[in-house]
Parts: sequence; C-alpha cells; structure tokens
Amino acid sequence: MNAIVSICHFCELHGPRVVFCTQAFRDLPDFDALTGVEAPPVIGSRLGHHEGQPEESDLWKYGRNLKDNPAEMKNGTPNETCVACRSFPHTQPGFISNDDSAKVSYVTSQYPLQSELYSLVHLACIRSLSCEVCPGKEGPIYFGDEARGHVLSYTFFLQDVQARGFQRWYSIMVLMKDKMLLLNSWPFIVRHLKQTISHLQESASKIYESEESKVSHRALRSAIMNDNYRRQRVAGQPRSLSELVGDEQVWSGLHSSFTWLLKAGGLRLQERLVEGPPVTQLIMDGSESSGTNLNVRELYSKIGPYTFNRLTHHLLIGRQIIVRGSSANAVSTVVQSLQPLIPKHCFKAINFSPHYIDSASCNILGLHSLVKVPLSVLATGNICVLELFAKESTGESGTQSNIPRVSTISNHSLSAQEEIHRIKSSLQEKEMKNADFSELLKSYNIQISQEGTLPAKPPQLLNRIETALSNTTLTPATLMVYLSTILYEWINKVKVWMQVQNANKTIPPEQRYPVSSQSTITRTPSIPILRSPVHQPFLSRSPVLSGSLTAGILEAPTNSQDNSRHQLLSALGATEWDVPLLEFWAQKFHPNSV
Amino acid sequence: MTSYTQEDDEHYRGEFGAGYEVGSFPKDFVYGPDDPDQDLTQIFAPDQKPKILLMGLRRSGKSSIQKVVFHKMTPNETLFLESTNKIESENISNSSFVQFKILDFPGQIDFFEPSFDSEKIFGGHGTLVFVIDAQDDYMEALTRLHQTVLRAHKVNPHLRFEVFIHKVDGLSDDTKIETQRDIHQRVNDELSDAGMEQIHLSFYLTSIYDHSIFEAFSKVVQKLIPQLPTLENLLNIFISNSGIEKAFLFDVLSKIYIATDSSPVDMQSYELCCEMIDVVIDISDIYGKADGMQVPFDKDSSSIIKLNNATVLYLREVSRYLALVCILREDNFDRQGLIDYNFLCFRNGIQEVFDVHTSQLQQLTHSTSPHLQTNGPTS
Repeated sequence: MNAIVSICHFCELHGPRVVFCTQAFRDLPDFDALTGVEAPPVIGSRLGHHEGQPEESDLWKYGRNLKDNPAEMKNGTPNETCVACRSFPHTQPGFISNDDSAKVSYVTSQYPLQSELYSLVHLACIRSLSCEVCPGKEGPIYFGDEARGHVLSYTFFLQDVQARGFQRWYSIMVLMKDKMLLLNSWPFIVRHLKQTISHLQESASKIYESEESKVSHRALRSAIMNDNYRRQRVAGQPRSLSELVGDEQVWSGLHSSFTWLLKAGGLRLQERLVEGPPVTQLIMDGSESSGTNLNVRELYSKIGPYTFNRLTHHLLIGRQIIVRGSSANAVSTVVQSLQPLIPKHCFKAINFSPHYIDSASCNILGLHSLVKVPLSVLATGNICVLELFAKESTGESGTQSNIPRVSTISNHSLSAQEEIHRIKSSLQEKEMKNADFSELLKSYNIQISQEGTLPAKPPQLLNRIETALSNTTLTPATLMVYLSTILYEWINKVKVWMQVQNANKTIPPEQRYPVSSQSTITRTPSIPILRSPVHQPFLSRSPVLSGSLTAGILEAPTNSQDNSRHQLLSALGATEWDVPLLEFWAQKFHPNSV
Repeated sequence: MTSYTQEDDEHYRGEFGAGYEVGSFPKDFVYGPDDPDQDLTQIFAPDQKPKILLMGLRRSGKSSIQKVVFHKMTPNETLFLESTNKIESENISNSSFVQFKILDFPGQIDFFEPSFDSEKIFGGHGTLVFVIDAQDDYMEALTRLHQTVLRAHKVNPHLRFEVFIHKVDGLSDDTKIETQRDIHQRVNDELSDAGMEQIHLSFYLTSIYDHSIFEAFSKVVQKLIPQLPTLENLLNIFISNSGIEKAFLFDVLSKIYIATDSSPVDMQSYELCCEMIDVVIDISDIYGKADGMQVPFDKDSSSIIKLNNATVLYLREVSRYLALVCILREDNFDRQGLIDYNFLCFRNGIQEVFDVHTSQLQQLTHSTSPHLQTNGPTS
C-alpha cells in the first residue's frame, strides 16, 4: 500500500507535531542508471564507530533514494522539539524492516524522508489535530483532496497525570494519494488502528492509575493553587509517548504494527484493469437509426407494458425475437426500434427476410406473416414471436413498396441499374416513412403469438428500462442517453463477470488470494540503527497483530464454488436472475473482444 | 430516475451497512467535488456578528477567561482544563445588544501561516484580545503580540486590539502598576519603531479570581455595541432625574455590563452589583424557577438590598437577559415611586432602541447591504 502512516501529537509546548512516520520504499527499476546519481549514504560515518551494528546501507535494502540533503531537510522541519514531540533524535531513519520477497523496505523515522512529503504530512497533522472535528472527539475521520493527499485520521486521547486536563491528544494518520483505495480500505484500516490504539490506551491508563494512586495529582494541583505557589508549573510538562505507556519498546512495536498495516493493506485489495472492446463501439448512437423514427417509447406505448415486458425479457436474455407482419416496412421498423435496448454486439438483426434464419445468425428477425417458423425451433422455446395483424385492408403504400424491397434483399445478384433504382426507391420510402410512419403502425395490432417460458424473475435491467420508458417527463434524447448509460453499466459488469469466470477456469481458487501473511512478511527483526541507550536488537512484537492478521486477510477466500459465485454477483450488484443476461452478453462479447 | 438512485442506495446500504466501523464517515457520502473549506465556512459564516478573538501564548489563560466569564466555571476548576487544540468558536447572543462570537485560539499554532485563511479568521468586524501571562516572563509574549498585531492589522485594518495583562492576582499592587507601565512602554515603542503608531492598544489588568476580568470584558464588549452612546445617554438622564448615584445595565448571564452612566466606574461598586445579580439569580433559582425556564429571571424580577452604610442597591429587570442595577443613597430611596416611574420610561427608551435595531436587521436581510450602521433615537 503506497501510504504514509504517522503518529501526530498535540504537544502542549509546540502544538500539532508529527512524531513518527512509517513509509514503504520500493526499488525503482534501474534507479541509479536512470538518474546517474548515487544515493548518498544516509547516516554517514556515525554508525561506523559503532561496533556490533551492521552498516546502515546493508539494512536498508530497497528503494533507498534519499536525494534530499539532510541539511536541506532541516529547513522544512521545525527545529524546536521536546520530549513529547520526538521519537528519534534526528531526521534519519529509526527502524528499517526489509521484505525480501516483495523487495520493499519499510522505514520509520520522525519525519517523512522526502521534504515534499514532509509538508503534506505536516499540513495533514495540523488538520487532523486542530481543524477537523470528529463527533465525540475520539474516532476516525477522513479529509483531504487531490493536491494535499487523502487522509484517514484516527484521533485519540492518552491519560496522563501531568497533562493539562489529564489527557493528551494523539492521532494516527494514513495519508495516501489514492482516495478510492483509502476509502475502500476504511474498515480494515480502522479496525487495525483501533486495536493498536486501545493497546496504547490501556497501557497509559495503567500508568495513570498507578501514578494517581501514589498521590492524587488533582488534589495536588488544587493545593498548590491555594498555597499561591503559582509560578510552579505542575501541569503541562512534556512527556514522551514511551513514558506515557510505560514501555520503552513502544516505538518498535508501532513500527512493526504500521509495517504490517502497509503490507497487508496492499495485499488486501488489488486493482485490475478489465480489458474489453472500447465502450463507444458497444452502444448504438442515434445517427444510425435516423432512418427509422419509431423510438422505443412509441413501441412501448403501442404494444403496452405487459407485452413489452415479455418481449424485452426475451430479448435481454438472448432469445430470438421474430417479428412477423405483412408489411416489410412496419416489420423492419419494429425490428430497428428494439436496437437501443441491447448493446450493439448483441444486436444482430435482419429487418425482413423471406425465410427463417436460425438464432445463431440473428437474434431479431423480421419475417413475412406467411413465412413459417420451423417447428423444431418453436419446440426449443428459445423464441418469441411478435405478430403484426393488420386492422383494416392493406390498401396503402406500405404493402406496395414491400415487394421490391423483399426482392432487393433476397436477390443478391442485382445489376447496377437495378441497384440505383433500389436506392432511389428506398430514398422515397424513407421520406414516406418519416411522414406517416406512426400512421402506418396505427393500422396494426401487435401481440405475442408464440413464446418460450420465461424465468421467474426478469433481470434488474428490465425494471430500469421500463421505469425509464414509463417516465414521460424524459425527453426522447434524455431517454436515449439514460438507456445507453444503464447499458454501459451492465456491459462493465459483464466484463468483470467474464474476467472472473475466465480466471476461475484457469486458476484454482485457493491461489487467487494471498496466503497467510506469516509467510509473506519477512521476519526480519527491526533493528534500531540509532544511537539509543538500548542496544539489543528489538524483536518485532507480533502477538498483538497476529489476531487481526488472520482476520484481515482470510476473510475473502472461500473454497466453495457456489459461495464465490454468490460473492461475485453481490460484488457486481447483480442477482441470480441476472445470470442469463450476463451469460448472453458475455457469450456475444467473446469473439469481438479477442 | 429517482427510483434508480434509491434502489442503488438501498442496495449499497444493505451491502455495506452492517458491521462497519463508520465513525464520522457520513452515511450519504458520495464521491463528488471536495470542499475542504466547508468546516471553516461553518465556523466563519459570513454573518454580521462581531467577533472577539482570544489570542496569546499557550497557557496564558484564554480558555479560562472564556469559561469563567461565559460558562460560570469557578476559577479553581480552570486548573483542570485541557489545552485547547483548535479554534473553539462560540456564539454569544443573549440579547439584541449582546451579540458576538468568541473564538478561542490554541496558543501553539501560528494562524498567519499561509495554510490558514487569515482573511476569514481575522476579517470582519471585531476585536482581538491578546492575553499575556503576567506571572510568567512576558518578553516572548510581547514579541508574539507585536507580530500578531502587525499581521492582523495588515489583514484587517478595522480590527480593534485589546491587551489583557492576565493572572495579576498573584502580584502586589506596585508590581501590577509597574508591569502595566512596562508592557505599555515596550509595546508602544515597538509599534512606533515599526511605523504603526496609528494602531491603538488598550491595556487591562485582569484576573479570573476577582471581578477584573468581567470589568475588562465589559469594556471590550461595549466597544462592539453600536448603540452604546444612546444607552449611556439614557442612563445619564435616568440617574440625574431619580437621584441615583450609579447605574449599570448588566447582561445577567455573563455579568458583564454593557453600559453605565458617564460617572467613573468604581471597582467596588461594580463588584457589589455583580454579587447582587448572583444573589438574585441564586435565590430565584431555588425558590422561583418555573419549568422550562433557562434562567430564573423574568419581568417581575426585582430586588432591593439595603447596606449598613446608608446605601441601597436596586435591581430591576429590563429585558430577558438585561438588568438595571442602581446604587443610591438611602434617603433618595424614599421616593421609590418616582424611581419606578422613571425606570418605566427608561425601559421604554431601551425598547425603542431595540425596535430600531430589529427593523434595521430586517432591512438588512431584505437588502444585501453588508454594513450595519445603527443610530438609536435620542430621547
């Protein structure tokens, strides 16, 4: 996880200060080769005098690109510090953990090691402690923007007999550039931080109680007040965090805790770009359908909600729709009007055909009313026949013009002259259509004559299409935009569906998730490389973490196939009865996308 | 369309609602344009209320002053206040006259840094009160005062400046005077060195252990009341016609006086009047509290206290949070009827001033004129 985890403290002397920061460093590919600059040694010869301490450059294995001059850093950082707002006595790394398998070094220092990050963290620190209010004062809040980074800040108190108000303000911040990742990791991060914090608070309370039992500081403060010794300041003397919680090793504990958070937070969620054909090709734009001016809503009002519901249901789950009528013109218009309801790759229509064509070649077929649908096709039930019955005698232009039209489609070997003639006549036809098309359709009754059985529940998409169509306040243009939007939405769901289904086929399920991170985090003990009074290497204090570790990582995997399918559907926001739609769309998708 | 959003909303709520630690994460949180200044605009709403900014070094007693004056905290309790970590904003709107906001600043943070919107913090009509701890070495405080005054004046030239030399209760009288003289001298020297003689600073010796803080705050608040000359005039007419020696118009809740007659204020008589208000409020609190009343103080509230030095304290209610407290000789109190009649006239006069104010406020809300100039009627 590309983030900085830091502890901030509202110091009674200096105000909001950054106390402790953990960052992840990765090796950039050929960093030295790219810049031509050798990374300067960080600590220099100081550590060299120390016997028994490994060289710092050996400890910090990955991504060590300290371009910043230590002297340069000093400009940005406040030079005044006290015990309370200091974790390490310098701006150099205090703890380093290396993850050899992932080639990452987790480095903890007082301030972020890059000056541009320092100002971000410092600003966020002021905001976290002195600007943003969490209801109830303690708790997690989010704030931030693109420029200043996105911050999750968890504010808390630690009890202290010597503090003003007997408590001190702290906050733990997770600063990230990726808002989505941060907010999606919210439950995970907050749960983990809460654990760390309550551990600190419990220790601090113990110290508080033991100190208070020796002598009541509350009474002491009043007594001093009454004796008029006001110059003597009892409250507000700075104390360091390790003193507050009575644990010299608190910093190394926090280091391993934050390191785990960064490591596990990155493993938890992975972003993968699902590739597919560009969406612009997938939806009909209005221009192509300019020839027919029957829009979906007119069809909807013509055939009525019930028929429309069944028709669209068949259409969405991939049944073949057959439109039969005596007028080629009317039939092809109805066929074309169904176009906005499904994505382009699923729309394989034949406007008017002299004979039946099977569902593999087209899913919407216009037929003359005299053409029979083969019985074998009808028996499969994967079909819906929409019949156009003429109301009155067909003495109008539509029937006359359909005969040459049929011939143009059926006879593919036409001479050039006839071709020109055909184009002319179709142009005339078009004009005519525009003029009296709705008149034409009025003379027909449309109903479903034969259909297969439908699943008990329609896909969710159908409800939304219907809601949109029945909403008369939408203008036709708006309606088209809305329809294409919800189609996009489902196309994207189909992409994810395909991706996961394919992945399921290739990878056995138990390998899709990170295995227990006991093996992924290297057990490199964090070694203090500062000149501290305690020299023995600290061991990472993982007992606190291991509980949450398993809880955090292992919540995702389930071995049951059904369960994973269910999880996938709920992640998509889809239900069981959307599956026919997903599968139909995915199946049509396949040849195009590859 | 509406059904679409609702459906989705419910869907996500059902999906992610249960078992999640949400904290302050708003329930209807959607991805949209960020508004980082939202909180600031809430604190600094562009209304016309004057502001009192309490600034000063850490531990100089800013929060204590605010708590003691406006929250009735006893001075000893202020020992246990925690340090203020952010700007604490509080609206004081007891009456039509006493309407302002108090902003209590944390002393550790420099609010002139570019990351803060100093325009919003220091802009508008208001007063900056700088608190100096007189028991401490005040040289650092003076440096900060100098910086603060210069920068705030640069941001908002209309800002008034008041300096509280605070915690003087531990000092002897001589030291007090000496401290005030010294601070006054140094600050004015520095200002004139910086070429800013036009900035006027007023100095007050204050302590939360006596009434000096109330008195000083009264002076600060009075400067924010545009109707002050009218009120003073009314009080002058009232006392001269009723044989009264001294009269204060009090804000009952905070015990700061928002106006007095033009005779000089004697600290002892002010303290007496404060104590009297406490007595009246406490007695009514015990014996006269009706249900749902925030303060046991209504239009029948009045009190007469006779002192053994032939002086009488007389308190009458003026409006919901205002009380008139008068000090007069016992023999002048023989004609109480006359005083009561004059008081009624006085109260009517105040009422008229109120009316002008409210009608102006209405005009203000109708037109969008940003500046408020109130001239009370002269009676």
